[in-house]
Amino acid sequence: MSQNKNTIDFGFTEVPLEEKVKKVKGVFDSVAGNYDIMNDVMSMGIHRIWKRKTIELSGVRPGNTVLDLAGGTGDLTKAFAKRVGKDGKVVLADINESMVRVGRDRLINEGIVGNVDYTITNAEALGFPDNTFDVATIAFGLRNVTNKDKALEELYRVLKPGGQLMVLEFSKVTQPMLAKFYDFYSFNILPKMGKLIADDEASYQYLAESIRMHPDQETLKQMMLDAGFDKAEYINMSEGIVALHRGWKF
Amino acid sequence: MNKQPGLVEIAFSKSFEMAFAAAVHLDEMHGQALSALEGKVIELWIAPVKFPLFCLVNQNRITTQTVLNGEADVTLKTGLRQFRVLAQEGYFEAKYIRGDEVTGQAFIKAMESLEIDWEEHLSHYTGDLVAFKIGHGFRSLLERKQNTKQYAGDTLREYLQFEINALPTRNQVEHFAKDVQQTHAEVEKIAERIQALSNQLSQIKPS
Ligand SMILES: C[S@@+](CC[C@H](N)C(=O)[O-])C[C@H]1O[C@@H](n2cnc3c(N)ncnc32)[C@H](O)[C@@H]1O
Repeated sequence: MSQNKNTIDFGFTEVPLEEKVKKVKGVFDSVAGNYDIMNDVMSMGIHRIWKRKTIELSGVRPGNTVLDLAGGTGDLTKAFAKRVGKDGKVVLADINESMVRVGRDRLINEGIVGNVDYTITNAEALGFPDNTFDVATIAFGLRNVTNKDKALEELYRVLKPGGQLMVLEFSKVTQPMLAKFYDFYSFNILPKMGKLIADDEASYQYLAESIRMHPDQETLKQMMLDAGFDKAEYINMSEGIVALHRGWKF
Repeated sequence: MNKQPGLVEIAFSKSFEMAFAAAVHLDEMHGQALSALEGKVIELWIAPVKFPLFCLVNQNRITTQTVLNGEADVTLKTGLRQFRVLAQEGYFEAKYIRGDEVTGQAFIKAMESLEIDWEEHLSHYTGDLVAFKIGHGFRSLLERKQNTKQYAGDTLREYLQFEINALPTRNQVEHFAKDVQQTHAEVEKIAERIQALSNQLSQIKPS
């Protein structure tokens, strides 16, 4: 992250802080409609298994209250809604209205109704009371948040004692050969695919860059502890292409 | 229990979830048999599998997972073989271990009334997956295969490929790698060509 107070990394381009929020919004505005398709193509479908693992490890049960922050088009929300049942609640929160709209339409279409709330929120200032959620997730969202420390503090605040935060995010590839290939993939292939499928090379260029600027496994774990979490750990998936960080509030 | 579920656990859990979903989907009563279990969690130990399967019942649907916060309402012990018996004879044998016995009974009853083609689902996926993990399984199924290990591996890959749509096939990976190489080569060719053109250009420029 940038040392300069007034600028922040927007991918590899430093931009003034307040502009980042607008830029990120722009990126997701332009990809919202094609987001699910891109997601599948970009990760060759593997994102589904990363998400399934996240769901399994959440250990959610009927009656739980779950926050799916930066929930986008609602993959995790859908799975959680089926699990918490009618006495539970899932809140899909995202800063971007178009993403939430696409997500809501999709879930309603699939018959997921009654136990899901939709809300437009910035991760840095969550409009929920303290001690609200049993489980909170932020999947492929934290890297887009300008002030990650603030977001982590907020997530800690809204978790109930005993609650668990799960951060699913691209991370640092641990295997050197794969790291090289992955670099080439994200900086050369991915933006080209973005152009082909979504006609939007720039946004996918940003996605690739933001992945690289995101804190690595140990750094993020430390950030979670600094934000107040009483315990934090992570597991690497697919050689660290993605890591799942888990933090607990006791 | 906070052991991290690996691919086998995830595939196992997912295949049960799919079997339940298919059954409820085909059920004339739309899973009404599950209504007595609303909001309950049933912990199943399915021998010879060495981890629990938690069945969460909500709105006449069952979702499954291998990790649960807190305790299940009831814990039952059964076996993969019992699912085969269930399919053939409509009778589900599960041993009560702990928790709420009424819930346990209701689950067994629900299993017996749901038309699930367990043979189809479990011999296809789970039997082989478990065999893959522990080295033996549905004998009759596996005896037919010459190279069981290879077969189980293939099935696992196929399963993940088509059902969770998770792993690219070797072919796809090779294809992809070739595409990457080709793109790389083409980019380099274009770069060379641009270099050559600009060289030519600077040569014909009148000095
Ligand atoms: C890559 S998508 C991930 C969506 C979903 N979680 C998934 O895994 O499919 C990232 C999401 O983060 C949202 N986002 C970006 N910055 C945010 C912020 N500061 N607060 C809340 N959401 C944000 C974007 O609008 C976008 O929907």
